[in-house]
Amino acid sequence: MQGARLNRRLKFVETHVHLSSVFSKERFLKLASKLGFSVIFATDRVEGVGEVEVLLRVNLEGGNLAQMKRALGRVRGKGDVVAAPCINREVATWAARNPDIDVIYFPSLDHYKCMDKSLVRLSHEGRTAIELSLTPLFEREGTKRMQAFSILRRAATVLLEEGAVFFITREPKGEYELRSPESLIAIARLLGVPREGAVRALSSYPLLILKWRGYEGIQREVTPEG
Amino acid sequence: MNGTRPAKTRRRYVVFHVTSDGEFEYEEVSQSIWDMLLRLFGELGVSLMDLRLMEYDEQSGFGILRCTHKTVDAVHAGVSMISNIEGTPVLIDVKKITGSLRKARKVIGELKKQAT
Repeated sequence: MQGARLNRRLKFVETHVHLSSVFSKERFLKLASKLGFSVIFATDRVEGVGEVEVLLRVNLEGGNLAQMKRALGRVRGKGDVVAAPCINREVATWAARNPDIDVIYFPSLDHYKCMDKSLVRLSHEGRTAIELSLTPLFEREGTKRMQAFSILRRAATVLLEEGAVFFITREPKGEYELRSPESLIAIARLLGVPREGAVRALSSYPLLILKWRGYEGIQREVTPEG
Repeated sequence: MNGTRPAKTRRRYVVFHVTSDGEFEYEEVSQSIWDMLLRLFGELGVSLMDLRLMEYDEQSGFGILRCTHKTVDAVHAGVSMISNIEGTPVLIDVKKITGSLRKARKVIGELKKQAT
């Protein structure tokens, strides 16, 4: 059978869920479980449903580096995962090398200009993951989607060349925006990410970040890929 | 004639499920799939897919899409990228890819049983 099913022992993680805009959180979590996710990093604190464990992801807010630093001071220790948006080069560099930040992400396609090999190397040193959001591919059409493909493909190439720890997310804001791990892998392959790399980005890398942070809830059951 | 047969096209059958608040007819689902694949891969790309929506059950939301074995990954990605049908938000999830239509129908039967 082609497009072989994923190893059932793997735990898949949707790393960026906006639960505040979800109408029925319980229905959302049930659907996520049905699609094959075991863990969700959500921007709101909710109890897990069934086999889905929900961890709190705190996205730092601020318009410049000073505000980001203050925001980090306020949220330190409050979330399971701390994420920083790369709003400019200065913030991206600070966040990538900061051991208190778990993930750096790009709020829009324009912000991907901050991403290059040196940022990826810094994130490696700071044990920070880089998030690749597939959302622009869903929200745009025509030439704008073409542009999104081009920018994301370039970003994926840098991540793969540098052996970065990275996540792939659909960034769902509602239940119909969820996509199964297998679908995300298929879409990531359009960006030139090999299947194994995409599986790692959805499974072992998010769990590796939790391991680096000393989170024990999931680690006891982690079955590393392969 | 040099005695060699043309290579047989190896087909794959993509079993998918549409989750949505609304119900859709065969034509609407078929149109959405064709539109998305044409936009993503162009006329030349889709011409190589040997694409056909074999069947779609409006009530259960299960459907079977035929394509070639070489283009199955592209079809999977394209189908997954459909976010609405006729303006209604949808989630189309590929459940299984099989080598025969009979197996695909069997898979749908099993999935329906599991759901009840």
